[in-house]
Amino acid sequence: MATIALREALASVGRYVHAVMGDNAYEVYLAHHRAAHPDVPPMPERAFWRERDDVQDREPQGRCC
Amino acid sequence: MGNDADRSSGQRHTARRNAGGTGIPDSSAADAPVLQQDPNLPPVAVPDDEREADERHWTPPKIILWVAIALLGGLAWVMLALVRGETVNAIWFVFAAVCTYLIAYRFYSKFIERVIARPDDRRATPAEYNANGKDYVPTDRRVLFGHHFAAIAGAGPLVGPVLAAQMGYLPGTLWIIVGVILAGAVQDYLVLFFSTRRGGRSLGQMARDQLGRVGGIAAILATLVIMVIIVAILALVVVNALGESPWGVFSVSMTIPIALFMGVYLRFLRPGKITEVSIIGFVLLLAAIIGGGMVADTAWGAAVFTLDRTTIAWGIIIYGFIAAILPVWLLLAPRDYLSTFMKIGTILMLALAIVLVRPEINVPAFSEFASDPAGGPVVPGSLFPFLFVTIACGALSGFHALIASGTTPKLLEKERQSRFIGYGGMLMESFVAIMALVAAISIDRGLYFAMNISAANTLGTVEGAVAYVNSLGLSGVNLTPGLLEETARNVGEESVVSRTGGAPTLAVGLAHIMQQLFGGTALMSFWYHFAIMFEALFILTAVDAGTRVARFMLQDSIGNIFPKFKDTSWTLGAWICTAIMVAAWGAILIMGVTDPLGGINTLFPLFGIANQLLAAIALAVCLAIVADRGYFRYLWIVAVPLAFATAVTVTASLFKIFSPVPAVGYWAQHNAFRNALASGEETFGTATSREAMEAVVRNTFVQGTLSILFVVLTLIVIAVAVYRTIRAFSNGGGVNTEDPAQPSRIFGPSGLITTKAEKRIQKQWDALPAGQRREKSRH
Repeated sequence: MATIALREALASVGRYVHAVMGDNAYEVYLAHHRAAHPDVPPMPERAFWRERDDVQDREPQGRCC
Repeated sequence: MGNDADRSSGQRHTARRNAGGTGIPDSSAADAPVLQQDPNLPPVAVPDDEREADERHWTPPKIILWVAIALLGGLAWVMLALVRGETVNAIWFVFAAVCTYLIAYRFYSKFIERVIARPDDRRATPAEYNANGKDYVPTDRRVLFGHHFAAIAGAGPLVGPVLAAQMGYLPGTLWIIVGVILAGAVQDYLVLFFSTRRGGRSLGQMARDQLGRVGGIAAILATLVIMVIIVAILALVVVNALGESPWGVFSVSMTIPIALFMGVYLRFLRPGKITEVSIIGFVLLLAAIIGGGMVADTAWGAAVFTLDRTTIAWGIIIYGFIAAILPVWLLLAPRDYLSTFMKIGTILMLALAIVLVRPEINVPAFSEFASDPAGGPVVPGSLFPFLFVTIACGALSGFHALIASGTTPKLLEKERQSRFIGYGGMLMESFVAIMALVAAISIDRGLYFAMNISAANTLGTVEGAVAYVNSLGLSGVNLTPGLLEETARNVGEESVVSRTGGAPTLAVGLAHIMQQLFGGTALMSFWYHFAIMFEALFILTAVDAGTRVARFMLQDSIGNIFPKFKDTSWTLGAWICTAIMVAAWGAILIMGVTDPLGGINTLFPLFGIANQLLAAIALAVCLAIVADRGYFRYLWIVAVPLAFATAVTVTASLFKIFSPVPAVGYWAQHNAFRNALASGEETFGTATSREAMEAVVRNTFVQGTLSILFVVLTLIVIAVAVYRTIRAFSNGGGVNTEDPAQPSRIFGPSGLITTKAEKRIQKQWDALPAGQRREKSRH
C-alpha cells in the first residue's frame, strides 16, 4: 500500500515537473486543435516544436532579474 | 484563425439570454456586465453567496489553525526583533516569514480581491477566449504558478539582501517581509489582474491607454533605460564572481557548449523532450563544475582560464551580442530550461538545508552602520532610503510587472486564480530573498566585510583586508588572515578578498550550510562553485533575454519614425538594434569594471533605484485604473506603496544627484575629482593616477546623468497618473479601458487547495461527455 501511494506521489510530481517545463505543450495544442478545428489537420509534432521556438525570435519574452 | 471563431461564438452566447444562469448577485453595477451562461454546462464559478458564506464560516479547527500560525509567527518576530542574545537561530527567520506570508495571503490579499480586483469567474480570461493552443492556453493554476515563479525569480533577490546585510539582519528582514505583503505582491497581483482584463496587454500599452500619450511615452522610455541599467549591473555581478577565478570561468563557459548541445538535441534528435534534455544538461553541468576544479589545478588550466575582470566583461559583451542574434532554439531556449530546472531544484534544496541545519546567526539585529548617515562600507548611504533600494527584488520589483502583464495573463485559466499566481508567486520570491539573507549572514561577519568591501579599500590583499576590516571597530569582529586563507582554500579560490557583488558571499554562505549537511569541508568548493554557476546561469539568461526584449522595444520605437524597423523579420534592422542595446549596457558594464571607486558598490544603488522606479510606474498605472473604476475608498491600497516607492526612489535619486558627500552623491564626486584634476593633482582618494581620476570624472557624469533621467521620466508618469486620478475623482470615475466581457465556458478552482464547493462543481464537469467540455491544459 505504502509503496503504491509513494509511486503515485512520485508519478504526480513527475507529471507536474513535465508540465512546468513544458513537455506537454504539443498534447495541449492537439487537444485544443481537436476541439476548436476538428476538420483541419493539426500541425505535425516536429513543426509544432520548431514554430514554438521560432515565435520567440519574433516576439522575445522577458526574464526577470 | 481560431480566435475569430471563438470570439463570435462567445458573442452569440452573450446575446442569448436565459434565466437559468448561476444566480450570482451583481457585486457592482460597473463590474457586472450581463453575462449569460450556457444552460447546458455546469456552473463556471462558485456562486458568490456560497463562496462568501464558506469564507465567513469559522469552524473550531480553522480558528485553532490560524491562531497557531499567528502565535508562532509572533513568537518568531519576538525572537528576531526583541530578544537580544549572542546569537539567533536561522529557523526563526523561516517561521517569521512563512507565518506572516500565510496571514497576509489569507487576509490582506483576499481583502484586495474583494474591494479592488473584484474578479468574476463568469468572465472568460484571454487564455480562454483567445485560446490557440500555443501562447494563449488556459493552464492549470499550479503549473502556471511554477511558470510564473520561474519567470519572475532570478539573481536579484539573491544579491540585494546580501549587500543590505551590512546594516544588520533586522532592517533587511523587515523590509523583505513587510515590503512584499504591502507593496511587491500587491503590484504583481494587480498588474496581473488588470492585464488579464485587458486581453493580456503589456505594461507599456496599459500605460498608454491609461495615461495618454505623454505618460505612455515616458513610461516606455523609462522602461527601456531601466532595462539597460539592470542588464549591465547583473552582468557586473557575474564579472565580479568570475574575475581571477579559473574554476568559475571554466565551468560557466562550459554552459555554452552544454546549451548548444541541448538545443541541437531538442531541435533535431528528440523534439519536445524538455525535461529529459534538462536532466542530461544538469548532469553535464555537474560534470563541468567538478571538471572545473581539476582544470583549475593544472598549470595550463590556471594559465588559460585566469582572466582579469576587463577581459571577462568584454567576453560577456561579445557573447551577449552573439547570443541575442542567434536563433532562440540554439542557445537561449535550452539555457532557459536548464535555468528553470536549477532554480526550482536549488531553492528547494536551500530551504530544506536551512530547516535541517538551522545555523546560528551572530550578526547583530542592527549594525553600527544602521544609524550612520554615511552608511556602511558595502553600499554607501543612510538606511533610508538606501536599504530600500538595495533590496529591490524580493520586496518590490518593478520588473515583475513586465512578466505579470503580457506573458502570464495569456495562460491564466480563471480570473480568481490571479491572487494565487500574482500575490502568491511574489510571496515565494520574497521567501527566496529571506533564504539568501540567512545564507549570507550565517558566515563570519569579518569574512562578510572582507569579501564585500571594494578592492579600493582592502587593496585586494589578505593583509589589507584584515587591517581595514579590523579598523572599522565592529563589535565582535576580529578578522584573522588565517580565516581568509582557510576560506579561500576551502572554496577552491586563490583569494576571497573583495569578491564584491553579493554572489560570492551567497555562494560561501550556501557552501557553509550545505557542507554541514553533506560532505563537510571537502565538498565546500563544490557547493561554492555550484552556487556561482547557478547565479551565473540566471544572470546570463536574463542578460540575453533582456537584450532581446530591449532590442524589440527599440525596434518598435524607431519604427514610429522609420517604419522599416517595425518589421521584425528584417535581419539587418534587428542586428543594428541589438548592437545599440549591447553597446549601451556594455558601456556601463565596462565603466563598472574599470571604476577606480569599486564599481558594483557605487552602481548597485542605481540598479535598485531603476527597478523600483519601474515599480512606481506600474503602481501609478494601477492607481489610475483603480480611480477610473471609481473605488476611491480603497485607493490607499495602491497609493500607500506608490507613495513609499516614490519617496524612496526620489529621495535616493536626489541624494545621488545633490548630496555633498562624495561617497553618496555622483555629482559631488564628479566635481571633487574634476577640481583635483584642474589643480594638477596626480592622485586623489582611491584613484592612483590621472587616468583613473579622469575615469571617475567620466563615470560619475554618466551615473549622475542616468539618475536625473530616471527620476524625471518617472515623475512625469506619476504626475500624469495623479492628475488622472484627481480628474477621475471629481468625475466620480473614469473611462473603462477593459476589454468587453465574454462569458466563460470552463471551470477551475481558485487557490492552491480546492474547496468543497469547487470539488462539487468540478465533479459535474468531470461527468460531462468529453465533446461538451472545452479542452484545457492539465497535468
